[in-house]
Amino acid sequence: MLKRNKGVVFLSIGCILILIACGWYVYNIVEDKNAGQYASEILNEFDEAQNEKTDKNAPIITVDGDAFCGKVIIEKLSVELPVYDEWNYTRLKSAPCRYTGSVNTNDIIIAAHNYKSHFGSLNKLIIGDKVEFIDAYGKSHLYEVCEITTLDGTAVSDMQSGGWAFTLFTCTKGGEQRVTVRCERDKTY
Amino acid sequence: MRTTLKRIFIITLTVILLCCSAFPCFAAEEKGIISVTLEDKSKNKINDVTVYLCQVAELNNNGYYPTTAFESSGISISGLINSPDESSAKSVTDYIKSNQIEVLSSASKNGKATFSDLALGIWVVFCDQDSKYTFNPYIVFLPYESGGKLYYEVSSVPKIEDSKPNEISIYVVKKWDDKNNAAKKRPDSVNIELLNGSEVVLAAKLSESNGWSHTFTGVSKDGNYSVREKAVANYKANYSGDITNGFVVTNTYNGEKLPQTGQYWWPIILIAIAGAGFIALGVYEVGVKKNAKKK
Repeated sequence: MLKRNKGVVFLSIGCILILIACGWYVYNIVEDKNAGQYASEILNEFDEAQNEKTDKNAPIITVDGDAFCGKVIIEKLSVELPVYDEWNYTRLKSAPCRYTGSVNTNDIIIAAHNYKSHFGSLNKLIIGDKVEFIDAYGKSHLYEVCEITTLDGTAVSDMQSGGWAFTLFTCTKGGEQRVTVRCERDKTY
Repeated sequence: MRTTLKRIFIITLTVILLCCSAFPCFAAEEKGIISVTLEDKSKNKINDVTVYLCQVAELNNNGYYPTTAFESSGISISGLINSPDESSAKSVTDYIKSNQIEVLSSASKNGKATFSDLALGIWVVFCDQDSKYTFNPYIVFLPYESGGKLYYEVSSVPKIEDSKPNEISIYVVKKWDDKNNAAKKRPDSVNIELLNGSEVVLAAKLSESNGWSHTFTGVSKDGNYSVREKAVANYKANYSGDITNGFVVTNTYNGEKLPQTGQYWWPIILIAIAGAGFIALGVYEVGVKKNAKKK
C-alpha cells in the first residue's frame, strides 16, 4: 500500500511541477506579448506628442505624465521603441529607459527588458550595424555598433566606463549577465 | 598686611587681564552694524535698490560655525574664510536664492542701507539689479579685524557694473543621494553642461571646493536652457529646477547591481526537468507494485 502511495505521490508532485513550469512559460509569453503591445501604443502616443509638441525646445516629451527623452530605432531587429527619461522597474516593463548619460553629452546608456519586442534580440547585432536615436527635438543621431560584450550584473562601473557615445543593454536569458552593445557616432552619416 | 592684600589684588588683576588678552571673547550678546553704500562711478547716490543680508556662519569663542540654514549646504566655511572673494559670495548668494533662505532686506535711501543689531559672524551682502547697474555680492566678517583691532561697525561698498539687460546668470547645484557617500563611490568632480535646446553653450566642473555649485554668467537672455551632466559612474542623474531658481542635479547611487532587465526562463527548465523526474519515478514505483501483485 505504502509503495503504491509512494508512486502516486511522485506522480502527483511531477504533474504539479510540470503545471508550474507550463504556467510560468505561458506567463512569460503573455508578458512578452503585452510588453510589445504596450510599447507600440506608447510609441504611437510618443509620435503624436512629438508632432504636436508646443515647446519645441523642451528636452523631453511627456506622454501620460511620463517623460521620454527620445526613441530608439534598430532597423535590423525591427525595433522602434520610445525611451523613458528615467528608469524604474515599472517603466522597464513597458519600454526601454535611459539608465545614465544623454545623447548631448555623448554617453547615453539605455536599458531594456529582454522581451522579444524590446531588446531580446540585441545579441543578434554585429559590429557595423546601425542604430538610430531620435531625441525629443526630433533630431536624428545615427550610431554604429562597435562592440558587443557581456557584463556581469554587478559591473556597474564597467557599464559606465569606456567613454562610449551610445550603449544598449539587456539581460541574458539567465538573467545574471547583461548583453551590452557599444556604439559610436556613425561618421558616414 | 595691607601691602600683601594689595599685591594679591594686583596679581589677580594682571592674570585676569592676561587671560582676556590671550583669549579674545565674543560675548553672545555682542552685536554689530553693517552699512552698504550704493554710489555710481560719479559718486551719485543710488536709491531704492533692495539690499539683502544673510548670515552664513556665526562666531563664538571657538571660531566660525555655519548657521542652521547652511549646515547641509556643502558650502565650506573655512573656504569662505580663506578666500572670501566674489565667486564665493556668488555661490553663497545662489544657494540662498535657490533654497529660499530667510534674509534681511532694506531699500537704499540717500545711497545707503544700514543693518544694525546683527549677530557676529560671516555675512553675505547682495542687492537687486538696478535698471542701470548690477551690484556684485560680497562677504563681510563681523567684527572686521584690521591692524589688530576689531571693528563692530562695518561700512562696505559693493562692486558696481553696468547692467546687461540681455544677459542672465544661471545657477546649478549638485546634490548627492548616496547615504553620505557610504559606498565611497562619489567622484572628486563632475562635469555639467549648459544647453540651449540641444546645443552645448557652457560647461563647468563642480567639486567640493566650489560647494558642488556653479553660476553660468553672461548667458544670453533668449534661449531655452537646461543642464546635463556627463555620466558619473555608479550614479544616475535626475534634473529639476529652472533658470529662475537654478537647476538641481541630484545624483542617486545606482547600487551594486545593474537593473534586472530579464525574464526568468532558466527556472522553467529546471522545474520541468524535476517534474519529469518525479513522474518517471512515480511510474516506476507504480510499475514495481503491479509486478509484485502479479507475482
